[in-house]
Amino acid sequence: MSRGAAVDYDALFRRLYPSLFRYLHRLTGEADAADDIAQESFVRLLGRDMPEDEARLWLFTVATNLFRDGARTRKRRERLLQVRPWTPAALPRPDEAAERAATVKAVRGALGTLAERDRQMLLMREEGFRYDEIAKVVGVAPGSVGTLLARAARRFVAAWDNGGDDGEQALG
Amino acid sequence: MNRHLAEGTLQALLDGELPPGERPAAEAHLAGCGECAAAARELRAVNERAAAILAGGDVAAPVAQAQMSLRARRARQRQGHWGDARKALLRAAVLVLALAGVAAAAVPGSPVRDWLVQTVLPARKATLAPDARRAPAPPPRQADAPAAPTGISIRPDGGAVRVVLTRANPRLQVTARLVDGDRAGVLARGRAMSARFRTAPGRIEVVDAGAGEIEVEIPRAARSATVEVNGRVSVAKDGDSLRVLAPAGAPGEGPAVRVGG
Repeated sequence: MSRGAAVDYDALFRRLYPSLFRYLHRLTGEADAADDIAQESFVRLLGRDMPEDEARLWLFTVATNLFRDGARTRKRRERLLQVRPWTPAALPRPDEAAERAATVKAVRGALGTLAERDRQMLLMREEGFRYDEIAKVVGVAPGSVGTLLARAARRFVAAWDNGGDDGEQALG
Repeated sequence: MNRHLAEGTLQALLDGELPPGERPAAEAHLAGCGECAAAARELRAVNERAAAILAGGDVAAPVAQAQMSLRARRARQRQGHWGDARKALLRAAVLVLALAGVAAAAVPGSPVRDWLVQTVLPARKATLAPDARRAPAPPPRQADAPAAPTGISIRPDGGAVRVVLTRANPRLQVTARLVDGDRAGVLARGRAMSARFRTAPGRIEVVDAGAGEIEVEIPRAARSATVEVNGRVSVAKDGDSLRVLAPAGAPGEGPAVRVGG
């Protein structure tokens, strides 16, 4: 995706969507929500002409903002809904799906123990962003990224080992 | 370099992010300092565990499905742009014609002015005359076309589907039916279109459905499925059919729940 050349959005989508989806799924814990936010981010990218690296960082920034906005709405809605916990006894689920759901919930629980900035830094690093890109998005000095990442990784692993917060936290 | 390396420096070294000017000195220190080398190994292990834990909850990205959906959105967007342009052109044309008409009517002796004097003004006088009180009957009003239903669909999660209706209006009519295909869906018609929808894996929540109709579609292939209405499990999939378990409320007091063909 170079400046001035016709943008092949389909090819760009195929290259960038999996990484953006993975990042958002880790943030939201919900495949549908991750897909919705990723698609909305791509829709907003249409018509913009920027190099692929820049587009990738732009997409992640927009997606993170959409997630934050959605998280605020979701929290309000969940208060209204008074969603009851899932009751496996009432509706048996296959073991595999239940195990995966529990893992996703536990990962979200452990991520929920981190500050929003640290969580975002950790997840962006996992998607291969450079320190200067991470620093730009979360608003810290590039020189402090290493320290913050090391702390975030330690806290995340420790939270996982301690069973997270023993439940899912509302992120965002 | 006698001082031990800071954790942030070790992390940057492991991530290949240490500035080129600092890297040789840091690597030389690491080679000669057992304590820092051990700290680097331990930090690497922490990073690898964090990556493994995160990956443990990952699911495959639905690339093809998302791409189709995005293409459809782009097509709708393009149609919307053309539609907007056409409407703007039409508005401009109408405005030009109207201005031209007004200008022509203002010119004495113009054909437009003559036409107005000969046809429109006499007709207006006739309408105002006492013997012309019987105005022609207005054309019969066309019944409002029913609005398209709103709805949402999901794929079952591990073969299970759960549809939860909360704060449903007592006069709501709920019909559940089995369908071919692999998606479960909820359609709201009439006043039930006031409902808000929310999805989670294998779950659709419908809140504040008004006194209209809700249709719940359950894939025939689903392993299990339930429809809950105002806190009660009202319909459940039993083998190859759906069964009404309990009415949502006392007769006449709760939404009517039935199983459709």
